[in-house]
Amino acid sequence: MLYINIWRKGFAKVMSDKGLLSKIYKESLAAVLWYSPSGWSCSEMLQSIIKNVWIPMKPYYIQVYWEIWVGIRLMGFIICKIRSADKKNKALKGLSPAPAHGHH
Amino acid sequence: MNENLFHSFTTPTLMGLPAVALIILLPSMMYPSPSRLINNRLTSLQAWLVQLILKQLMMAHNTKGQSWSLMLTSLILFIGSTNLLGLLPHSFTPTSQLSLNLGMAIPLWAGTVVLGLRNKMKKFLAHLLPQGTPTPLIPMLVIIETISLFIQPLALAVRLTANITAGHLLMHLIGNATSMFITLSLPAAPTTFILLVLLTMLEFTVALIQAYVFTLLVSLYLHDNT
Repeated sequence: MLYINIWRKGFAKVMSDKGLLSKIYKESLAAVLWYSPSGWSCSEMLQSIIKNVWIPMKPYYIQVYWEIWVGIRLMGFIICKIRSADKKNKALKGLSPAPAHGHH
Repeated sequence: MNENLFHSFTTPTLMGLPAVALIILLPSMMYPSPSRLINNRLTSLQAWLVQLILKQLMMAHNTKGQSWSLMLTSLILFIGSTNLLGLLPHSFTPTSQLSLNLGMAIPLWAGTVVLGLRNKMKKFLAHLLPQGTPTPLIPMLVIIETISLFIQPLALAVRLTANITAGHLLMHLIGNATSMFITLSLPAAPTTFILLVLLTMLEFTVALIQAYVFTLLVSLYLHDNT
């Protein structure tokens, strides 16, 4: 809430003071975009993921496991087909009129 | 006390959001990463276990197949630890869900098939006909072998799901029977309790064996295609 209030104040100042990006606006924008109350910023998390995961695993993800990505795409295709068939089935059930008499 | 027998198989939610992602990530947090040259006892034990698994699985493979070492070792550790954690009371086992097991089986199986088609097409197609088949039976056998090829990922997933689900269900049933016998007929309760203890021991072994079987079969498919 503090960061949202800072942002609102900054925004109000910018709106009142045209043509100038005030210091409050810059800092509040940085606070909203990059810094969380826990102190561990999104940019630091992203850098940590890239340094510890992507860089060591890059040859695996790109060359070695290339065929597994094909399998993941195949699995995604199967999931899409199942979901669309389920949606069509539900739509058809909704459109079809309810039976006049109960089942015996 | 559970609401019904199948309550433990429903996907858990936390304030309306699916908690499955957290549960799937949990086993990875339990393995300490070796950060020093000489590690502590737990990390050394873990490293010894990983080396044992690696040797067992990857000795029969060539260089191409051994590039999948990381994937197969991670697979067996994930399935084994997930199955063992699921034996805790009132916990959720992700590997009891067919969706997760199919999500593991299909990409891995398809990866081995695509690898075989890309690198060793003749050897891959040769697997569709067993050696020494009589000529009149060739067309039928090729069809049967193709069907068995496409059933492999389904068999992998369903085997793991069925084993884990059946075991957990049996434990629930016998546990409920034991607690009922305590109130209804006290002499019968120790028998069912002993049965429950034996079944729990069996489930521990099944949890590890199923992880090994899943990974071994993927390794076998990889070996056929490399």
